[in-house]
Amino acid sequence: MNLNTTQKELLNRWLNREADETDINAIKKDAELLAYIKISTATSQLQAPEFETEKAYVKLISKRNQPKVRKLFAYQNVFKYAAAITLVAGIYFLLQNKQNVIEVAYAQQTEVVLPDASEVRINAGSKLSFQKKNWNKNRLVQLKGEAYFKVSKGKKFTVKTPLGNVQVVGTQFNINQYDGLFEVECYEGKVDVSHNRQIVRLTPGKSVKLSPEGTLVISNIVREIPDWTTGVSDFEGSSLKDVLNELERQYNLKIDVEKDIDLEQKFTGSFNHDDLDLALKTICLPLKLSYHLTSDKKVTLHAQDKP
Amino acid sequence: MSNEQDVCNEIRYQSIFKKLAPTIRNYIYYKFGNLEKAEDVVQEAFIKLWENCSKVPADKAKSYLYTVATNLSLNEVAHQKVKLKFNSQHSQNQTHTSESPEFILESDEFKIKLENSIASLSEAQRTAFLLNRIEGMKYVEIAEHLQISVKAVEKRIHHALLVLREEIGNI
Repeated sequence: MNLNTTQKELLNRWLNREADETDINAIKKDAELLAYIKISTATSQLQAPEFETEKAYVKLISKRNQPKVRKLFAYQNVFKYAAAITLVAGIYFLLQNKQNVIEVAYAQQTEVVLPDASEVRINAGSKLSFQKKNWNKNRLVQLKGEAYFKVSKGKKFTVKTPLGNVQVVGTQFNINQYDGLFEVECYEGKVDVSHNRQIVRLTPGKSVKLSPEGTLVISNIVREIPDWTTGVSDFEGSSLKDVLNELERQYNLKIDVEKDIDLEQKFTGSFNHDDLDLALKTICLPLKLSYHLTSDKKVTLHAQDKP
Repeated sequence: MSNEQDVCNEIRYQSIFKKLAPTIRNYIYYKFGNLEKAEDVVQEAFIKLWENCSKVPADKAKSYLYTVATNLSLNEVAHQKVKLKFNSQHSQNQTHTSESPEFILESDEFKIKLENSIASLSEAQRTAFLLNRIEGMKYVEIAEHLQISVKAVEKRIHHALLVLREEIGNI
């Protein structure tokens, strides 16, 4: 621009509507500046096409609320198709992934051979389920109750229980997860036991038990195989409650306990699975209890009368 | 909860629209020369303002809208040569107090010449110059909306005038 500083300042003031009388007079005497002013004035008389504010506002309001509605419709369609696909996939999945479920009634024990020849002996009142499909890729069983596993060598083998998971490669181990109880005994190989975030690795001869505080506590086992598989239930410092529960399961009993008996008192000993009278005596005698057996498999326990 | 200052209030929102929408539409129009696109940008900018109404105080709405409108039109290719269409002007308005009547637009012939010359301005020159001339914005305001310095606004406008003068020739 060929203007000097004074001319530029004059022009700026005029364009910013800040020019006073003196400035206007100065501009009028300057032909160069006047040309620019003329162009500027002419331009300011131009008008952009009219903007229909009211119309635009109505359009805006409807547009503003529109996307949500559109989205909703789109989603509804998506849901429709998703539901259909899920249904078809679900049926296919159910057919393909049928669960094998083994439920063992009270007073019974069962032995199951899994697809890879692993053996599971399941104790009374327990439930085991697994999938045959993809068994060799994913050896996973779910267990509620107690079972003794002899796992064939192969890929990792997982047992899920409501209270924790057990993972092994090839081994023999026992899991006891009857209501609230979670106990794993390792007889061969290595067993990883997890509960919440705690993981314990068991070597043969070791067992782990979930303590009332919710942590896994390791101790030793003395037997070669779990007692219950040989027709005996063995206890070491277990609560009377756990012992009676096991008795109920092994003999399919209903046991009533009088109020004044402490169910948390500890019991060490064992009972046989083939002689109820003897089993009851084994439990009751050391704890100074007496029992009454009715014909329809009901037992009442009460504190021994004082002599 | 909307406080008294934000634009979630429908009446406040509407008054902001009435006050600012025409100028913003023109700003985008001067920038790209596409009227339809400019009106779409205005709509989108105001929808964005509504969506964020609780975060934008009323006194920040203006700069918010200019920023959003500018960003929304960033993808638009800036054409060097944009032929804007202007309405025929009635000589009685737009006359500022500091403007002498002798400077007013003289003839239709001149108007056509002017329009053609404006088309040869660069996007930057055109936008700054027309915001000043037609929208009546001062340098400071333009600088704020375009997010450039006042000095840069001055340069753009002076350049615009230089180009126009050369295009139009002797007046």
